[in-house]
Amino acid sequence: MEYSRYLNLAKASAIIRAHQKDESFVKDVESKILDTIREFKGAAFVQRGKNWIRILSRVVYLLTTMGIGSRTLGEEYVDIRYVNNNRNIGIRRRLLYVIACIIPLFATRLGNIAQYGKLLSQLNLILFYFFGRYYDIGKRLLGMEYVSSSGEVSKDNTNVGKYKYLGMALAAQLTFQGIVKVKDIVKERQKLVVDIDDNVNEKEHDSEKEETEESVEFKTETPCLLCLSSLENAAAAGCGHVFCWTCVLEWAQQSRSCPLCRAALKPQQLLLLR
Amino acid sequence: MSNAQKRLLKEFKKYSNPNNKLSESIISLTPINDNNLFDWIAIINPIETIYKKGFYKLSIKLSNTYPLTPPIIKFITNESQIDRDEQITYQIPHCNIDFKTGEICLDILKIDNWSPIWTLEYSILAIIYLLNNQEPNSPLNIDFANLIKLNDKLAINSIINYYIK
Repeated sequence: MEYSRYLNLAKASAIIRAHQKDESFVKDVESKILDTIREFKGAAFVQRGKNWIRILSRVVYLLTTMGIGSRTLGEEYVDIRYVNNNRNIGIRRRLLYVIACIIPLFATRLGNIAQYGKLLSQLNLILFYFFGRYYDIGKRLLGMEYVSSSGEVSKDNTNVGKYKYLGMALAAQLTFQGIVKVKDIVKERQKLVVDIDDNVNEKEHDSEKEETEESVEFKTETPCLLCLSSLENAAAAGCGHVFCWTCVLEWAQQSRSCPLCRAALKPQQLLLLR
Repeated sequence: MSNAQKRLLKEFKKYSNPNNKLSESIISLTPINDNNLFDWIAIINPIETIYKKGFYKLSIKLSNTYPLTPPIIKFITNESQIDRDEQITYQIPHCNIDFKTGEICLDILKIDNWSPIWTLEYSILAIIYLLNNQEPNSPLNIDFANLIKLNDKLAINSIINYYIK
């Protein structure tokens, strides 16, 4: 590659940092947009439209930074910019990237395809950990590669700061998940064969189904009693009652008794359940 | 969105769900308007108490620290003439309720005895329970507390019904 004679390829660490910075700015924009919409339309409206507001804020952020031809704040922060075939990335490609951000909005309608999208982005991450360059799948497809505009040009451009071992771990996890999934599919096939073989089993199968449905319901209907949402990082108090970690910790700082049974509650006795 | 807003939104969804029946004594329990979940109104008809003929209106004010701090609940006693509703009784003689301001003296609604697992519905139910379990030893309405202490049922009932519309 020609430009590598004049410029360093951006280090993987710099790319990650740029992305994280951008992410935090997007969050910032999102919370501002949320507050504004809440002011006009009420909290219930915001709750319903959370998904598209999240994507809208990302688009707004990218349009006002990348869209007008400058760098995003994250890229500026670590001083990296795009190159492609010795030229700067044109406005058209940038806009295409921004438009691509809207795709997740339709992910729920696409159904199965959304799953493949997730898999694809995971594969992309593995490639990134091994070879650097493209942290984002959209950028990989559009060939938007970063160079660092600061620092001395090193002679061998192999020093891109790879996270080989992280990549390996991720790859191992993915293959393992794949194996489990394949096994499940094989099992289901076998079950189907058995079902077709004797229809007498059908009734039993039905009752089994009901049972599993009940247990699923039970799971979703035991929320944390403090925030009334589903349990997040479940934590048990000394008396055995379970709440969200953040909820119960907040309460424990104020009062030293279990919200349910008023048994003594010490913050240091809270047990995070895994 | 703060934790208080999230939790209040959950409660709002629960109470506005037609499949979920509130207690028979609670006629309605809603925010004053959709944009502000920190200000609610409840209308009760405490059918299982000596106040069973009356409809009472309660104002519920919440802070951003809810549910770590209790809601501030009062009987509405000083509604302006314009907003007054013919059905609602604005005077409630009860030894633990201030007759003028509608302030309620109930230990579980004080910060030391409050528990965050109680929802707005439970808090209202606790108040309805208080209506039949007067505590004359810590009165806000001393005259009525004396009647309770004397256990003069005729006087108690006639005073209550005198104010009910």
